[in-house]
Amino acid sequence: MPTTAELIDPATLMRIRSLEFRARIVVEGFLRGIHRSPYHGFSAEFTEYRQYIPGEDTRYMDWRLYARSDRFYIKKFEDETNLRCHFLVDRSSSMAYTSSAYTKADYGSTLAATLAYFLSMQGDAFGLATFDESLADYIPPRNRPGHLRQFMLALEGAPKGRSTNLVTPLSLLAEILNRRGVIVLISDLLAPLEDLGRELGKLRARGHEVYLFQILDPLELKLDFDGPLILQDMETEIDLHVDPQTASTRYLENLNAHLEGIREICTANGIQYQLLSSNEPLEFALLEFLNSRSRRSRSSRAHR
Amino acid sequence: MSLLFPLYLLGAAAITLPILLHRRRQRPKERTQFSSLMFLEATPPRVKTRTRIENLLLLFLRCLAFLTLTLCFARPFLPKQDDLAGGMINERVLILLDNSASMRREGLQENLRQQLTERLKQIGDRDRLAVFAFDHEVRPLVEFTEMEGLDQKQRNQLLIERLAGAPPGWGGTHLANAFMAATDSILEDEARVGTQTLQGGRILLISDMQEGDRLDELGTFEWPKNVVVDLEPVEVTSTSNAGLMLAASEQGTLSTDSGSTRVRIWNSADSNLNKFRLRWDGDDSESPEIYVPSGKSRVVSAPERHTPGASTLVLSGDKHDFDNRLHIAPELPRQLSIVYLGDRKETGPSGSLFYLERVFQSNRYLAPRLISLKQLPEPVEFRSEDVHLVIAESPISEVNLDSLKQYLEDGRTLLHILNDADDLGGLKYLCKATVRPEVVSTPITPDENEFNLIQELDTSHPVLTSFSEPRYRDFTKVHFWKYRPWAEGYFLGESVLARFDNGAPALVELPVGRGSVLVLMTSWRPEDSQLAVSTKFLPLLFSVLEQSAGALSRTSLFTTGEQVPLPQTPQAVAVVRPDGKRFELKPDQEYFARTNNVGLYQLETSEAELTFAVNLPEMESRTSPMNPGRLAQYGVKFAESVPDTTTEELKKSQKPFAEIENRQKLWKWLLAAACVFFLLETWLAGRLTRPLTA
Repeated sequence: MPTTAELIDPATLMRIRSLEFRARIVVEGFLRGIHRSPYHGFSAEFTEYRQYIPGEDTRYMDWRLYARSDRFYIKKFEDETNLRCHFLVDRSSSMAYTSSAYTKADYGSTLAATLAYFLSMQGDAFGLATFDESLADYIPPRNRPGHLRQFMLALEGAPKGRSTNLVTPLSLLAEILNRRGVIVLISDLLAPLEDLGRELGKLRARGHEVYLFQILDPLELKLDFDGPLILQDMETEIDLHVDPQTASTRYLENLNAHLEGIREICTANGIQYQLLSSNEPLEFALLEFLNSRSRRSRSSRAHR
Repeated sequence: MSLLFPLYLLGAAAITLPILLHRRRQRPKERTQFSSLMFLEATPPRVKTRTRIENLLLLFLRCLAFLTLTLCFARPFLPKQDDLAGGMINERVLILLDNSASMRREGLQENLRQQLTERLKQIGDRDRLAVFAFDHEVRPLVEFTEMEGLDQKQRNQLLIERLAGAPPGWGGTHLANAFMAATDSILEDEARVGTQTLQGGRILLISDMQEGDRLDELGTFEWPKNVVVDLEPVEVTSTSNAGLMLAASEQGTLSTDSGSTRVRIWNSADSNLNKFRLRWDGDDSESPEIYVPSGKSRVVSAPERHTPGASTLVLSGDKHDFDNRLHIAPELPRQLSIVYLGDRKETGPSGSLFYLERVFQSNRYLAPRLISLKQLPEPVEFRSEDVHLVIAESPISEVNLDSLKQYLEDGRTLLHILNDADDLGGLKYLCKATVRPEVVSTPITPDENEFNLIQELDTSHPVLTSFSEPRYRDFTKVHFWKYRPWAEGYFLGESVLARFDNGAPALVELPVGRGSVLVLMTSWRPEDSQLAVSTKFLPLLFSVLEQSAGALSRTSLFTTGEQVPLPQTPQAVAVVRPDGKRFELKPDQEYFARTNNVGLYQLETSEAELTFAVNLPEMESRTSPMNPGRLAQYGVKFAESVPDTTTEELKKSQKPFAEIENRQKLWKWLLAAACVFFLLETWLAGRLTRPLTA
């Protein structure tokens, strides 16, 4: 595990223009750091055999093993054992905000790309759905040469959407996805939370694993402006005279209440939630993702 | 440090503006984008005066820039004691007063004096001043040097004295001459005083500015860079005028005969009078009305003279009468006596006299009298003043030689026709022969069967000047059958004026005393040549007559300022002007130039008394106002603005400071500094107000 000092500074990382190259640097640096790590990712399931239970379909019987060991073992289909991961990335206007050299969208794209690169290394299928008010682009999950590049291209460029609407894209995605898989939602979640819990619950009910990464700018977390100013909402373009000295307290109360609401929704629906400040190293997100996956695998194995 | 325009310092009050702005809490002007305002509540901005000034450096830069700019407009300079105490000259002014005949119009002199007085008030004690009067000539009334050290009162006193002695003359307005003399005077004064103190100057022209002003000479005059002209037109109540001038007679010549005198009456374009009358001065009889529309001219015959000897035509019916009199000198034909001295057997068309009688006929200018003599009177009785030309055939009788010698030494000319190459006895007596036979050339004898032509002519000699033009020099149609050979170099001072085509001399001049003998090797008799029937005969004989008797034709009409050529033979002695003033003439004087008055002048000569008339130049009658643009076309530079009387004192007090300030030009440095401060301010302000979002 790399120390904090060895982690890649996001500001430095974001200077690299190629999204694919950024993802490779994060993943390879990360893998080098966890060289002796006991975690092997999702592919550990691929190698698992389980004993045949009478009544199961004999199509999945591993006959070669039976010939060697005279025992019936079931081998899962490759298709089934491999992960199908959907990245749901927020491309609304609010994601274009930044107080530094790169936007939240850049950070989110790099995060998605990093995870996708990691998955592609393991031969897992991954797809992409971008959204703002509704579902914008959709790339079905695949694992074949060139898919990663297509994935990266779809993530490049500045966000073009207007406001954030979490409900509609989640609802649509729930309808599209008929197979279980992993859904990674990357968004600033700066939208009302009324129906978010319901939609996420639907996905969970369909058996999807949902990971939620909320990305916020450091300034959004503190509202640390120098003097009075006119703030313009990037999504609605409404102007507001704000004196940070007086308004920051109320802002932080509202923000914390909002974040607490999200946590509650995620806990209630068994969703892995992580709040990321856009100046945090990406390795934290990757580590958290793998940790969650590992915990979930272990718990699923325990259930079996 | 002093300031040229200290009032501009009031602009420094502008620095309160940035101070107030810096004390004012700035309302946010630019919008800052934020991801979402869903957690924010509006907090109205507080706009109130700050107790503490922020951005002190920026404020300092802004104030400094404003102050520098204000100071730049106030035009500061560093006065030096030597500049101020060294007697700086403010301005060099040369006043040109129009003294031409047109200024004789009613009321103009009063207006001129009044305007001059007003203008003199604007000229200070430290200005250099000169006053010139001009018409066709320029007369300095007061020079720059005379005005030195005088205060304004003394200057005015001196000028009044000089003006009293300079009433308007009768000359034309020669403005070009006046300008050139004025600029020369200014530049001379500049060179004398030194260019360090003051360069150039101003010519103040006080004139009626009539369109008849002569400006032609300005075309070739390069106007000096630092001399400007300030126009002060004299107020004229009426510019309309009618003029009178002599017109060519029907024969194409200016005639002064009472019967054929024709005059042109000219009426100005802005005139409201169109009926005039013309009469001889002293004639009281009623003359018919002459209608001349405005802007037109009309040629009419002069009325009949009722008073004998009247010489002035008067035009009546015009408002301004300065140009309404035309003086005409009576022209009498000149009486000339020509003596033919010969004793030839040929008579009638075969003789010489026959043709001479036909050449010397009376006309309007000449009344020649040809006298044929065989013997001249004795020298005691023979007066060269009575005989203007002697034409003698050879051989000359010895009895005539003494009289002829006296005649020649008085400056007359003898035309000697050489009938025999050996008839040189008389000439040897009259002229001095050389004592060196070796220089005498061999005579070229004529060919019996051939004719000769005149080939070489010395057209620079007065006798042959009339043939100087190539078209008159063609003698090829004049055949000479016979001529007498001449041995060149025998007589002292002889000069060959014409030669035959074989090189033999045809006409030789021998000097005798003040006169000369012209020896013709042939004659105009038909047996000798075709000269008498050629077109060359009359010009030749009249040229010889003119050389002997002096100018044959003499103009008797001149304008003021014009130089009158004086006759040499007979000798001009004196001129009496119409005002009675008598001018004695020097023996070698060629021209009389003091034609300042109009009227009849008497020219006294050794022979007789002649009369010539001097009138106003025609252009002087053109009194319509001149467009000043004409002056500009000739390159005259005008002063940018006419000095304002009310602010004149202020301007005068500022003048030396302006000179110093103009030399130092500190404002340029201040302007540059202000630019630098503004640039720094822009840079700093940009740096301080850089937006938070990138």
